[in-house]
Amino acid sequence: MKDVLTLALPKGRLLDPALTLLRDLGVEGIEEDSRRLIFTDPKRDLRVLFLKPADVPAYVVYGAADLGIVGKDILLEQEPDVYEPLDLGFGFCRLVVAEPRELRERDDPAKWSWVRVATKYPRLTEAYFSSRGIQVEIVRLDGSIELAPLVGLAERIVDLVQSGETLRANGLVEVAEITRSTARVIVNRASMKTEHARVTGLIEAMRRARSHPPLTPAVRARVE
Amino acid sequence: MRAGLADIEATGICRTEPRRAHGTPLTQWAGLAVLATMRPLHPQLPKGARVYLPDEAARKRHVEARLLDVFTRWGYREIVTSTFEYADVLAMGTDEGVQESMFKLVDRETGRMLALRADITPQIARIVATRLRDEPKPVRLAYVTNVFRYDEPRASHYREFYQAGVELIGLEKPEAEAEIIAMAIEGLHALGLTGFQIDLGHPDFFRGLCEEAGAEPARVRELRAALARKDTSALERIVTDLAPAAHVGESLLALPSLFGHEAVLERAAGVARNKRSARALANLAEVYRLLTIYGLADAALLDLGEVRGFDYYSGTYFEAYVSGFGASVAAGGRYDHMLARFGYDCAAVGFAFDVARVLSVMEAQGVPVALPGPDFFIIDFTRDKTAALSLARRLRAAGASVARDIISRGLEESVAYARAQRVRHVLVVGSPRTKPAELLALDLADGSERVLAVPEVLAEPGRFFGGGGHA
Repeated sequence: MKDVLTLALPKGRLLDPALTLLRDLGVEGIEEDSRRLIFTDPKRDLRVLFLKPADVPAYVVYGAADLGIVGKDILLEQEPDVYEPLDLGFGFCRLVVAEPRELRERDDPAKWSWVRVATKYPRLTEAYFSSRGIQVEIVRLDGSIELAPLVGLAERIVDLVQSGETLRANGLVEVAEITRSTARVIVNRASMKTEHARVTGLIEAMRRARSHPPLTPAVRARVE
Repeated sequence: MRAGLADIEATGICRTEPRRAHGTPLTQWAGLAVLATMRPLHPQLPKGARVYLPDEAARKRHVEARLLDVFTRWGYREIVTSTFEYADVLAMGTDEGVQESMFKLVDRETGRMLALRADITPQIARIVATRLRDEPKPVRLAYVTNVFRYDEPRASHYREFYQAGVELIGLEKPEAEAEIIAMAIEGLHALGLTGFQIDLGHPDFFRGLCEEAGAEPARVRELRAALARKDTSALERIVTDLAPAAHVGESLLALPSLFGHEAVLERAAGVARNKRSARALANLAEVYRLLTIYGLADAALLDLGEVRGFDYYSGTYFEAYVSGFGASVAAGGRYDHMLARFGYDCAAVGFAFDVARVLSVMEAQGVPVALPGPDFFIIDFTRDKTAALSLARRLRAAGASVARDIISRGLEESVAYARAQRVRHVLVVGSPRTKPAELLALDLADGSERVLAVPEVLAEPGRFFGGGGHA
């Protein structure tokens, strides 16, 4: 049996709700504004890593972390070989195809046969277009995807939207929705078996905290 | 050692280029000419190929030998199958998903498609169904082999990988499953691994529930995909869409939590109202009971929501997980329908270890593997080499491993080489410190030095080198 369980958290938009969830579980010792990337809560035998969101699955697949919190969008893109036992419900967003408003006015998506698309999600983009019989040329970018149509890098983009504000601010409109995403808990396959009691205990605690936040002292006592 | 000993060995089979008094050795020009005509050398391997250098190969061989030893002690005999066969014949017993990942080539004589084995079990099933059909049962077969699959390389998984496993043919009783699970656990112990867990499941439990729910094949695939990830939210969505009878829906939703020790059997009994699921559960309970008798129930975890693995499993199957490594290191189970695909209806169970994954977890757990070099390393500074060659011959005959230093170089260099090779004893003939017919014996393990008479060593080597497990 391991001394501590390791949980990988994604920096960025999912971090605040994830930390709130951990605080609801009574996890202590995590300083949000610190530059440290690793924290240990001795009381719960839990170690927490702060990672780039797209790196969370790799840490869990290889067992460097037992559990992780990560967006469904990244799971769909990477298809890591992990368990995905809990939908945390927060961090809702949608993966959409978008293009400039002027293009949209004269464009008919039903007639697409070849498109060039800028995206952080090459696999999902490829799968989406090829399942519709459309050839797609993918320009893989790591950020500021909305910029691509404005400077002529690609006519269209595939990106995550929450409120749609960023699209609007850049003169883009949504053409189609590819999928929806929320934050998920993922678990290393061996950890699920070899640390069965502790891992399922933590997941159940998260499940309860998600539906009735925060925990009552009685439940908290049972979880710990 | 001493500078005075830095003599050059007089002759050797693999001598360096004799120095010329003036100018450049001829061979250097010849070498340049070869370089000019050679294509640039690309050292990379195709994706998914891997080389085991000597130390890695020794570790790999250690794992394979330990496992084969366990299999042998349970009464299994090794079988060797062909690396390639006609693709359509191989495909007959191979799961569809694996068929797609077979390496294929064309047979120059017949024009038929050949394939490299992507799974050895269908090959053995066919051999048993044809060549060993009349053998008295049960038939116990073991193998250590390479397997080829056009998979995306991932954690310790290459396109050519190695398996060590067994097939136990002709037994319908749950004791057969219990036997191979006990062997898998014994194998894990023999490898020095700790912190492992055997995950036990039965595909018919899930199949029975799907039949009861009237799920179509496409729905079953969706359910399986959700269960394989233990994704409860997707499972809820699919079950809501499916809208089966209330108790069936509840049973399907309960699958991911039917996971744990003995108590799971009771909880599952409440869930399994259809005959197929109930039979599966009874079989699993019996295997679990037998493992309890073997004293191995602690290492086993029942998991009725686990639906990974091959479609060919018809009964109890298992996977072995080791703490910290996210894929199973061994897997197997019952596949009673496999032999029928080759026209011989016969019960069978089997399992295999993935050798590369075992090596990974051994490294992660810091399991030591002894990698000894030769027992003896013989340096001879005399011209005629009689002493060196007769000593080498005598020591090898006595069961020791012996390497000769054939390169001409100084003693210090030779000893440094011997150390790097993890040699135990260095024997030096013709050193200025010894008389003719004597040798200097250096023990590299404890640093001691002895002068010994060559004829005495030749007569009875065990008298001088008895300790430390050497000849």
